[in-house]
Amino acid sequence: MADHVDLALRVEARRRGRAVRATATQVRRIQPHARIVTFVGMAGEHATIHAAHIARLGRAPKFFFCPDPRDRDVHAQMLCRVADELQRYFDWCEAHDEMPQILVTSPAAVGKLDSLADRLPYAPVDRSAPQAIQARARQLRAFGSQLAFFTRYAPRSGQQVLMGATDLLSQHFITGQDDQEDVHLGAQLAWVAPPRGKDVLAAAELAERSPMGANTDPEFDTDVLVDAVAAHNSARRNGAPAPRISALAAAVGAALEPVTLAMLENVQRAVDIVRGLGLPELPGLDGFVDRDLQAFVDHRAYIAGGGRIPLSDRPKGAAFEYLSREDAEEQWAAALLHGDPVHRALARLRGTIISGKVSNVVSRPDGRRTIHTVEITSTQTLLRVRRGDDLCWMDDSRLRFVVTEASRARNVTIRMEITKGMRAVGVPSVGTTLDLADGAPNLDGVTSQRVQLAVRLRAMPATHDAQPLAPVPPIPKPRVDPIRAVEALR
Amino acid sequence: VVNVPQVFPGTDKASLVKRIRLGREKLAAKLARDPGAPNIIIKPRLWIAVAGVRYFIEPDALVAADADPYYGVFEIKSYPDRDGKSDPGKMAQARRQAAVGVLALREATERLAPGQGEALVPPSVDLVLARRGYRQPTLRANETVVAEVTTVANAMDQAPRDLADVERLLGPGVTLETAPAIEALPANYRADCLSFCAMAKPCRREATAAGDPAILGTAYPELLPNTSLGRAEELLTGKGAAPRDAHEQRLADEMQAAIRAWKKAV
Repeated sequence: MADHVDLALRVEARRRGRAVRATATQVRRIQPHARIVTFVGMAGEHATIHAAHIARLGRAPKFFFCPDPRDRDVHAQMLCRVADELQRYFDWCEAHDEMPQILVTSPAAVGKLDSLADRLPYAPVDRSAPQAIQARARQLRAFGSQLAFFTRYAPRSGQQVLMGATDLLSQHFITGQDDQEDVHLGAQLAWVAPPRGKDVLAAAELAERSPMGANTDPEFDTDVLVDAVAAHNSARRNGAPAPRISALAAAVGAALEPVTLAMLENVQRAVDIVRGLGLPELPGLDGFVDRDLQAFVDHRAYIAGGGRIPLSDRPKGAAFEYLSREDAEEQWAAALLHGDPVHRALARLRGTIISGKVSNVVSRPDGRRTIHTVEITSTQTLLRVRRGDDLCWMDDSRLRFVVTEASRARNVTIRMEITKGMRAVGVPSVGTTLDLADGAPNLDGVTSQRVQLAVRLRAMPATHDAQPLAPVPPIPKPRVDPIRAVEALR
Repeated sequence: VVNVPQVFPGTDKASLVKRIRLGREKLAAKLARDPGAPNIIIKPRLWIAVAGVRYFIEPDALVAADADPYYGVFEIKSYPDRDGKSDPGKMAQARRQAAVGVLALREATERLAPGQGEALVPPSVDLVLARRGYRQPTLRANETVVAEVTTVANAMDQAPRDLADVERLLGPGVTLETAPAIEALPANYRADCLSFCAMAKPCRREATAAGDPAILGTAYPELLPNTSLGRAEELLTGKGAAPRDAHEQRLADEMQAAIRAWKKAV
């Protein structure tokens, strides 16, 4: 939900006529060996790829196409060539213990790959077909199972294995346009690096005319592609000589090549822009890279061991996946808050970080231990704090507090008890300024949560059990008449 | 099964009229509980009246089992049913399309059996999508389209008033075939217009020129009530007229504080 901070930054971007930086750190690792994959499908043909470019960052791309993806055999042949290319890369990553990374244009391209990964693992193998065709089907199944890792992992916050270039830019820049317009890579680039001497709005609108997702422009389809594909199909049907058919197929490829090449160049440009910022990497990003690599290795081992990709999650699997995604979101938000100065500064304004001066410290013995109560005073106008909140000191997250009282007069006064770190870090002294927030990122915490969830799910919950629900116990009558209780407050 | 376009092929006026009649006959047969009434009517030609003008539509099929009292609308789409991952935009479009079919079928039924349209045609439809991972169909039976039917019905009710407003704004004899005529109409731009409306880009240009906060996203008009983006820029920079009221003062303070903090951090 947008707030005044977002508004101020977007208005500032419009005032400057270019996007403004959203971070002071580089919040995505860009692997030097990452592969850029750009592609377009055929209109109305889901889970097909008509043409694709694949390139290692900064290197010359390879072009793949088929004259008509409705011809399943020709389409499968092209997909096998794409699969070969990417499969080699996945193997290399595993052998070198490197996190693989696929860069595409935008969420639309991620969605298209997801459709493909939904279908390919179930590609039918016709046992009566020639061996070559059976082998192709098996190769596509294997590739689909590998691809499914990337598309199923993509919704996790902070993941870096399958990234849209628009997401990469959005993490680092705020434009003066709507979020939905930011998912067009060309328009977003127009804001991030506006052409000299040109109005940014005009440049963005001009850029929007070129397709940057996973489909061609419908006008291009009508004016160019339909005729080229029809000419090829007609020649093939009429038994034209092979060189003629090849020439017509090449004409389809020649029409599509500039489309996917322009996408590839823009992805490369987005990467160059982010690298060119020369920002230090977000602290703790290593942990996220290791998490992604481990997930990739685990998936490869699962597939190598004969594991199959389920078409739909079962309730238990879905619960674990949900837990992982929730945890990923929390950890990524914490990493940005604790590691990036811009996120931290803006969080102070939003009240998600409590920033205040220690005004009083009281230590009193309680049996064999000492309870340290710290009182801080904050001048923040907006604060999100409640009694019972568990907070940590952002400069050293070992020092933890629990809020016992929060009151607002002219300033906000928050009373807290130290729960951890009083010896290791020490009790803060009066006059110290503290920045307090929810816990620091903890990428190992999900393991214990998974164990706990497994225990809870040993018995099927009533919502998913075929047994009738147990009768609901009667609600005890309230001891006090609530209306009287409310009136007594008057 | 009756395949209406197959019975009367061609798109000439006579064939189209025959298709309407054939559809009407079959609907009447079902209403009369004729056991010979078809279970499936493919591409029946129905119409709905908006501001006195007939708009013809052809649902993919109308379907009823022998025991069913009447037909239901049936839409076929080529994209896969991916449960929660189905494209929400496409699903919404399919439901809206089916909702128009429901209203047209209700109108056709009203003409045959006055007062029974709504009772016989409930706001639920059958959607056929591709089965995920396979080249086979899958059925989403009795998909509720209550909201879509209400929205489309409201839009149809509103249309005569809107058309009267449009006529008043355009003046007599002017059609919407020229750019100046279109520009004479006020825009009501929202970011999601880009995903479905052919007029989105001209409207966006108009909204941009007017400094409408909607161009930043749906949440921004709430943050800037009665305030243009130009004015927001003045408040941000402190240049131009001083804040006129407490709201503008607060807005200026908050935005300036945000930019100060951002500049320091970045």
